[in-house]
Amino acid sequence: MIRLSNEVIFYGGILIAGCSLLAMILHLCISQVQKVRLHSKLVQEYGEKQKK
Amino acid sequence: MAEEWIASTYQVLDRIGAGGGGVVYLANHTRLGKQVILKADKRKISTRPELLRREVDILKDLHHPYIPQVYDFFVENDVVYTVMDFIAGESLDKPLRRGERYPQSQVIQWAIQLLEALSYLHSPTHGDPPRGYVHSDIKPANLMRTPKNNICLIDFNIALALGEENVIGCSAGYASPEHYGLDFSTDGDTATQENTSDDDRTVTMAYAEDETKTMAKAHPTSSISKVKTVVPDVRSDIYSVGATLYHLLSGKRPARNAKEVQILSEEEFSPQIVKIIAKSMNPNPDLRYQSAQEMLDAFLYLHENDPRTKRLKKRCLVGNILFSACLICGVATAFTGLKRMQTAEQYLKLSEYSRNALADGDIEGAVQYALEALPEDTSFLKSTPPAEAQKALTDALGVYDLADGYKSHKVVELPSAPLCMALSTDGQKACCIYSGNLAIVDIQTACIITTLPAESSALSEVRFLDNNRILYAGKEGIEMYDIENGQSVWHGKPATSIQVSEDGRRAAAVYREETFATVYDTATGEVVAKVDFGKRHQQVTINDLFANPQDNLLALNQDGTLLGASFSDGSLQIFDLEEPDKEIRLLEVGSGYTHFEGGFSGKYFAFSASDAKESAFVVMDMEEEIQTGGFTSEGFYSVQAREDGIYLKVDNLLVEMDPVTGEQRPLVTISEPIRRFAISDTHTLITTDEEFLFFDQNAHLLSRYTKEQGSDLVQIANGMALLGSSDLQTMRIMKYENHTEAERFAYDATYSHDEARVSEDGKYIMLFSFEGFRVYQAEGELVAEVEIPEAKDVYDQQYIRDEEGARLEVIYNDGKRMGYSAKDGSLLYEEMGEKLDKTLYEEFYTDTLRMESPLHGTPAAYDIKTGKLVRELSKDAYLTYVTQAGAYLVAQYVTVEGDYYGELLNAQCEVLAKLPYLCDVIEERLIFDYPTGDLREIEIYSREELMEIGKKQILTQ
Repeated sequence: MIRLSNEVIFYGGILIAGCSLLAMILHLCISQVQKVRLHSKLVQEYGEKQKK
Repeated sequence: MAEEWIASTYQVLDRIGAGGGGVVYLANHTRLGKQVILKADKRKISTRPELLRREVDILKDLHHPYIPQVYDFFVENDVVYTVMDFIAGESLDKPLRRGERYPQSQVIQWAIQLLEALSYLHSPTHGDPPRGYVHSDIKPANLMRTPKNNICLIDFNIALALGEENVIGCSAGYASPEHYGLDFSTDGDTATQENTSDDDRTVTMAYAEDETKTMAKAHPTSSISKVKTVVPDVRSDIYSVGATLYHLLSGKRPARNAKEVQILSEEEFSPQIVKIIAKSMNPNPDLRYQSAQEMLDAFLYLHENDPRTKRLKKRCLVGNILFSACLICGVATAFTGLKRMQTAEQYLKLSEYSRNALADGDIEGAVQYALEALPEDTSFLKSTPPAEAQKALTDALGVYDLADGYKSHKVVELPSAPLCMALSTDGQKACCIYSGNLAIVDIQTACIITTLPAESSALSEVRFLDNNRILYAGKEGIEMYDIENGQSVWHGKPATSIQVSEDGRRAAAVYREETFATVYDTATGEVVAKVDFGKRHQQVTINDLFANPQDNLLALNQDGTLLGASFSDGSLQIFDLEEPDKEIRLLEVGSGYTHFEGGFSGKYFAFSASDAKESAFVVMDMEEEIQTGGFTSEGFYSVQAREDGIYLKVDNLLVEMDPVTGEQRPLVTISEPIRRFAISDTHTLITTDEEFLFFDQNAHLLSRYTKEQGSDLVQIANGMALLGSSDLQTMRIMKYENHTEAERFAYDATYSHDEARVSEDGKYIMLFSFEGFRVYQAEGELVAEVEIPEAKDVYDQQYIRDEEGARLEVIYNDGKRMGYSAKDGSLLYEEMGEKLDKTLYEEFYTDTLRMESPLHGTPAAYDIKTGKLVRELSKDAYLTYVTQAGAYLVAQYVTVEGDYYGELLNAQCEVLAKLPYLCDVIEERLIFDYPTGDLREIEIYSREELMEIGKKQILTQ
């Protein structure tokens, strides 16, 4: 039973890490799309960003 | 229009504008050759000319893309002319008048340009001493829209830089409250707003120099009650910028009164822009942007400061942090799991190493490995040590093996495999010949005391004269060595085979295939006799370096007066050293025998002679010179003859033989053929193909061990045993141990019984089987012996300990139950119970587990609550009982052969220890019933206690 617990921890950790990575990638993709959309909206409202 | 020239330099091209302060001309600068703007101002300048010139020079140094370049300033005909760049395009007031509106993004772009210009203008970097300039009249009319769609801030009123009294712009709606002398600042008094019309005229105002006065010259049509002196500063320009942007965005000019300005709609315009403009137009200058750069930054950072951007950033940040945290947690968890798996694997490996070391007889190594598999320091990166580790340690320490017998003591590592071994009679020293060397070993420590050069022959032998002196086949010849003193006593001629008389005073030696034997006085090394073999020699292999077939017989009698020898021609002869001419031939030349064993036992000479087909055993009375016994067999006889007896082995039987009567006393009877044997005063050691076993003098088995490889060299003396093999570089030392300290009760070992139990108070012991039982008092007195009636109909027996006391319940096939007192054996009850289920299925319960014990099948443990299988138990035997002993479980089994044993289990039913001969468990004490008639008892050791024992053992070793 002890050996099983160790494996559960190991594979569970891999599962969590994998899902987190996938979720992070998905989140980044969605965020990027949202950023592009928002940028487009802001450019429409405020014009292009001026250089400081 | 006639050409008009101004200052002889400027050719007026067109009059492009006019206002309250003057006229604006488009002119051609004849020297520069470019079009310029001439702004003619009719208002009087009261400043001294030299100061004026200095300020103009400063203005001429203003260079900014959104500020027209000022070229010159001069006075002609009381008119002040300012010369500056001509900016093509139209001022923004014109499209506003036309009703044009601009998109927010465009207004922002212009706002940024305007604020950049203002920031430049305001920065105190112009002139000497450096100072900044306030425009003071920012309004759409003063913003030129160029063809490139940029703006340019025009209409500088240099008089503001000078602090002139009457040259300040004050456009209604765009001018800040300060322009009207109104002070809405945090620490200022609120002033009444003057009533002027909301138009674009520049209102000329004069300010009193004395700050305490609140008078001001105003437009004739105006009336004011009271005004405080306020000097417009950069914040006033900020207000004007805000108002200008307000107009550009909404198309409506802001109210003149700053407090009446309507806030822009956040539905029509971006809330950020509304806020910027509202802040810039705050009546209180302290609450506006304090600099053009500050307001510029507000526009430049619109994207970043937009709430949507912030929300998105926040969401991204939270998401990134969350998922990163999860990723890190996942990786950390996986790492932890991996390390734990690795340590668990390591512990299992160490447990296996321990088991292997134990099997090889290396107790110290076995304990060491087991302790490494049970680390003291724990961390979450280390797995809990497995049950196998504790079991390995338990096995290595042998704490639950309370039987008297031989246990592994140590292992001697040799440079190469032994060829010949000898053990001193006190069992404390051993000698071993290997590959041209002799090693003298301390048995207790297993350390090699010294190494001496020996004859390089597998035939070389070593003998103990006594516990400290040895005779061995040295490199230079036969040598006597004193171990205690560490020195050679004497040496003689070359020798390989050596024998010593029983009294130790004479030794006979033969060198390889030499045809004579030399007899020495062991005390002095003097040659007392040379025995001529008559051109015969003993059996010698072609290559005698690696193997000794041990085919030869060479023996001296008690006092060394008779020498027995076998020869390669099959003959066997006794030589009388006192009568050399006397020949006693026991076997003639050509007997066909090739293998000889034997020796003298008192006046008798016993030997065996064997060939491939048969073996002969003969006993000779050497005084009478007659044969007193003997037989032949197809089996292989092996004989050892010593002063204390003649020992004969054939197949699976080892006996001590009386040379007079021929009576045979069994020493060992087993089911497999015996290969080698060694006998001491009290014990016998034998080897088979698979095992080596120890027996006591009553032929009772004491201990048995499985051997990995051949053990063709065996020695035993005084409770120590030595096993070696020509295939292994190690010698295994076994030591006799008794555990009388754990003795609880001793009984007649001949009484046959299946089980033993102890009453709860410990005062009575019951030994029982289906046939009957005995009850003893703990002191040893037999209380009762009872024969169970109709034993063949007995189904089962149960020893019960409960509130009613201890008793033996006998259950018959028909369901009848009879109960006998465990104290006196009296019949307590006889009753008829239910007919029994003959499947012999039983169930046992502990606090958390239910154990199933089927007759056929593997016993198993299940969780009481969930019913899930926890573990299958030992499948090689029938589970008879389960006892909960503290944190442990003790399972008792019976094998098909009827042997009882137990297993110590943890809560997960993992085996922590094997408990051979376990018969009873009372609380946390284990009771063992040994075939030697001993009941022994020991407590259950916890893991920590075992580790302490192991560490102490390592230290003492």
